[in-house]
Amino acid sequence: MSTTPKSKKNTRYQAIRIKLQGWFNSRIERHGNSITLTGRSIYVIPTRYGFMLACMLFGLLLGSMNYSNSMSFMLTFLVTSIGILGMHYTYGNMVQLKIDAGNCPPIFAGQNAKIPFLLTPLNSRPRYGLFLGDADRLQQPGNVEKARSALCFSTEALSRGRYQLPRTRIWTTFPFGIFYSWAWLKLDQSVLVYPQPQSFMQHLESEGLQQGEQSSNRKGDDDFAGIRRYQETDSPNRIAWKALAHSRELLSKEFHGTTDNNIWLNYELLTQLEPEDRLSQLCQWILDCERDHLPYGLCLPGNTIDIDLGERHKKHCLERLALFEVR
Amino acid sequence: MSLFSDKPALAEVKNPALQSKPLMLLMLVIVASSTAHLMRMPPMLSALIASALGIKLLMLWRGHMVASRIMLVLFTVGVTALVFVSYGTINGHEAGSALLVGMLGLKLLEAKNHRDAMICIFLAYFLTAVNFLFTQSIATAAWMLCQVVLITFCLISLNQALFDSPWQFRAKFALKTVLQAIPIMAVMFVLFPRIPGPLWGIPKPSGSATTGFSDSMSPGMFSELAQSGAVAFRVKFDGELPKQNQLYWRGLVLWHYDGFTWNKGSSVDSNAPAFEKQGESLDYTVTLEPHQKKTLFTLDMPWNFKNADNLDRNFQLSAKRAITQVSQYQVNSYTSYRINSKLEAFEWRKGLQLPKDYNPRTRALGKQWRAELGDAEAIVNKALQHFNQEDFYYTLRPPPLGKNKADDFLFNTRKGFCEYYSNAFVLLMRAADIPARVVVGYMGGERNPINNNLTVRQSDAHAWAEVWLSGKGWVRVDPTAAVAPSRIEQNLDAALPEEDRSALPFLSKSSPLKGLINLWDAVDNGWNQWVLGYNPEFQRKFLARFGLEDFLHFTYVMVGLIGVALTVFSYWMLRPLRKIKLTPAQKLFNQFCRRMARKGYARHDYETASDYVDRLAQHMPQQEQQLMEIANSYNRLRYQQESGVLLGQLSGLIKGFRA
Repeated sequence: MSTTPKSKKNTRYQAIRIKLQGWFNSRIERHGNSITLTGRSIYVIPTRYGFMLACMLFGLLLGSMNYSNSMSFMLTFLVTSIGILGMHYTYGNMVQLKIDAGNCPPIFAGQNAKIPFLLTPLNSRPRYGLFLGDADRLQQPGNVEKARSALCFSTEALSRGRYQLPRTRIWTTFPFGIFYSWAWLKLDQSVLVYPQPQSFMQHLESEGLQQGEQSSNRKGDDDFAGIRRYQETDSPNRIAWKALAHSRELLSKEFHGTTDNNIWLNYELLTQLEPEDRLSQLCQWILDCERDHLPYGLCLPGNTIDIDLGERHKKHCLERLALFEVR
Repeated sequence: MSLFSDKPALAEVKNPALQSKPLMLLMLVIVASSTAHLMRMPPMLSALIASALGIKLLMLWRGHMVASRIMLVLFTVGVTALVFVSYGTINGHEAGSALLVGMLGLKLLEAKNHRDAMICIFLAYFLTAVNFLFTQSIATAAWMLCQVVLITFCLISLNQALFDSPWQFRAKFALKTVLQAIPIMAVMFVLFPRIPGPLWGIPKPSGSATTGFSDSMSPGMFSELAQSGAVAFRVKFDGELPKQNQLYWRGLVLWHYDGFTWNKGSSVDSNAPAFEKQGESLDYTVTLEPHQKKTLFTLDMPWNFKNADNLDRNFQLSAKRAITQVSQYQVNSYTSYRINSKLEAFEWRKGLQLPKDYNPRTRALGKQWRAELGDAEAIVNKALQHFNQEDFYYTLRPPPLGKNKADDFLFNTRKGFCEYYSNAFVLLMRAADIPARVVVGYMGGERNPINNNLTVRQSDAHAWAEVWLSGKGWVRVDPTAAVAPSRIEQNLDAALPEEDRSALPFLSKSSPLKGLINLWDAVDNGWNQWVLGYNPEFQRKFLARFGLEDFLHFTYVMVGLIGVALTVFSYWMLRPLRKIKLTPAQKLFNQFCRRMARKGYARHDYETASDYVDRLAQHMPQQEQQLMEIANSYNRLRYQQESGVLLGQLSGLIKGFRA
C-alpha cells in the first residue's frame, strides 16, 4: 500500500522536527516572569493567503504592463501598499506588548490546566486577535483594548507532578490574514498537578487508615499542654500569637488529645494498590476528610504531616502527594 | 480514527466554515465589483451570472450553504459557452473579463469556507482593476477607490480575530488603511520602472464601444448628428492659439461614394508627398480620448510628428494601433502650404468617381457650370455663391432625404448641416470634372481659460471638402462656411437656430455653470496628462528633471521613499502611551517631594503620600504637625474634592515648610 512509505517518511520527518524543536528550545532563553515583545523576538511571514494575494498582484502588474494601463497600475500599487501596511499592522499588533506569567491554581491529574498570560500594551495601540499556542488549536481570540487583559493557554490533560509550561507561542494574523506574526514565550510558569482523586476502597476505616491511639503521650487537640518552638509542619491554628507579640518568636501550642478519633492516612498500609493508585486513594480521602471536617494526618515514606484540618493543611498534604517521588 | 474525537480537525480550525454574516458581506462586495462588468456584458450572460448570486442568496435563506456538483458543472459550462457564443472567443480583455466575472460567480456559488471567501476577495480586487481596461475616467477611478475600501472592509471582516467587532470599527480601519496606502501607491506609481507594452497581446479595439467619430459618412441616412458634449481630444499649443477659423482638424479623407455612404475607398501604401511650407508652423500636443480607430487628428499639413506611426498620401496621420485608451502625440504642422506633386492617374480616377444611378440633377448642374464657366476656381466660387445666395439653412435637424440625397437636398429641402453641404459640394465638383474629396474631422474647439488648452468635443465634428486645383494642389473648401459663417468663425452654438440650441445645453456660453464646466475640463485634462498619460517615455522625461536617469535610479529612490514612509508609519504606530496629565495638587506635591529628595529623603515608588510623610516625620519630629497637614490636604484634594481654597492652602503649606 502506498501509505507505508509515506508514514515512514512522516516518522522520519517527525524525528527531525523534534530534534529541530529541541534545538530551537535550547536557543530561546527563559524569560523569567515577563517578556516585552520587541522587534528581536517577533517573526512575520506571509500566510498562504498572503502568497495568493502576491500572485494575484503579480498577474495584475503583468496585465497593467501589457495594456499600458495607468489606472490598473495604480490599483495594483494601491493593493500592494495595503498589503505592505497590513504587514506593519500585524507586526504592530505584537510589538510593545508586555506579557506576564499569571498564576495557575493547582489542578488534579487528568484535568487540563488553564494557564493565564497577562497582556499589557505598552503603547496606546489596542491589540486584536491574539492567540496562544499553535495555529491548529481552536480558541477565542484575545483582544487587549486598553488596559491589561488575560489570555489563557489551556493545556492537554496533565499527569501528576509539577507541569512546567513548555515553549509556546503567541501569534496573530490581524488585520488581513495575509501575514502571520508570532513570538516565542518561555516564561517560568508551572502548574502543580495533584493526583487524580480515585476511590478504591469503600470506607475511611479500611486499611490505609490508622486510628489514633488512645494514649496520653499522643499529641491531640483537646487539652493545652504547653508551648514549644514552631515547626514547619505545625498548623497556623496552633501558633501562639500572643506569645509571638511578646517574644517575636514563633511558638506553637501543644495539646494532649484525650478522645482521639483522629485519622492517619498512611501510604505504607495501602499494600494491595499500585503506587499511583495509592496516591489517588490518599488524595480522595483527604478530600473526603475535609468535606466531613475530620482532622487527619498524612504518612508518606520519609515524610509525615501532623494531624490537622483546613484549607492550608489540605493544600500542604496534596502538594506532598503531587510531588511524591516524581521522576 | 482520531484519538480525540472532540478535538476539531486541523482543516476545520485553519479553514473554518463560512458564516452567513461574512457571506452576505462577500456577496455585497461581489455585486459591487462586478456590476460595471455585468452592465457591459451581453444581457443573457449577465443574467446567468447574476442568477448565481440569487441562487446563493436562496441557499443562504434555506439554510444550506453548498451548491451541488451538478449545478456547479452546469453553471461553468453555461458561462463558458455563453461567453464563447457572445464574443466568438474566450481570449481578449472583453471575453476574458466576462469569463472572470463568471468564475467569481461560480466561486461564490461553491463558497463554503474561509479559503473560498479569501479567493473571492482577491478575485474582486482583480476585477476592479480589469474594469480599467474599459474606462479610465476620474469618476471610474473614484468608484474603484470606493470598491477597494469595501473589499478591504470585507477582508478585515473575514479575519476570525474580528468576527465580533462592531462594523464601524472595521469600516474605519479599512478606510484608514486605504488612505494610508495612497501615498505609498503614489510613490510606486511615479517611480516604479515602466516598460513599454505590450508583453503578449495587443489589445483589440472593442466593437461595442460607441464614439462620435466614424470612418464613413452617410449624409441623410440618420438625420441627426450625434449631439454629444463628450470630449474628443484636447490640444496644448506651444505658443498662441491659432484663430478659430483655422482650426480644421483633419481626420479621415473619404474618396468613394456609393450613393449613400462616403468611405475611404481603396487605400494606397505610399507616404506623404512633399509640400511647400508657407508662413509659421504650429507646434501642439494632442491628448486623444479613445475612439477605437487608428485615426489621429491634425491641423492641415503635418510636417513633423511624434508618437504617431504614419503620414499617408492624403496627409492623414494614423497610429500604429487602434486608440483604445487616452493617448498623446505631438505634431508640427503648417496651415499655409502648397502641394507641388502631381495628381496620379489613379487619384484622378478616384477624385472624379460618381455613382451613375444617383443624383441626375446634381450631375447636370455640375456639367452645366463646367460648360458655362470653364475655370475650376470659378466653378468652386460659383458653388459657394449658390449655397450662400439661395435659401439654404443650417440646422442639426434636417428633414429626411429621398433616394437621391444630393438632388433632394440641393433642389428641395435645402436644410442640413456640414455633411449635407460637403456631400452636395463634392458631387457638384466631380460632375464638373474637378477632382474633389470629403474630409471628416473636427472644426474649432473651445479654449479653456484655466489651462489655456483647447477642448474639442464630439459636437465639433465637421465635414468639409478638398478640391484639386492645378498649380495649387489640394485646397480646402468648406461649403458650410458659405451658409453658416458663424459656425466657422465662432462655434456651433452661434450657428444654430434657437430651437436647436436648447437640445445642446452644454454648448451654451452663457450657462451659469460654465466656470464649473471649465474647471472640470481642466481637471480632466490634468488627469489625462499626468495620470493616464504617465507612460514609460513620460516617466523617463519627468524623472530626468530630478536627476533620475534610469530604472535603477527609479528603483533606489522608490525603495528609499517607501522605506522612509513606512518608518514614519511604524514610528507613529509604536508611539508611547500618552503622558498622564497631572493634577495641580500632584504637581505641588511632586515639587515638595523633589525638595525633600534634595535633603536626602527621596520618596520611594511604593510609598503613598501618607507613608512618605510618616517617614519624614521620624527624621524631622519638630515638623510632624506641618507634615501631617500637607499629607491630609493633599489626600483630600486628590481623593475627595478639588477646591481652589484647599489648593491655595496646600501651596502655602508646602512653600512655608522649612526642614
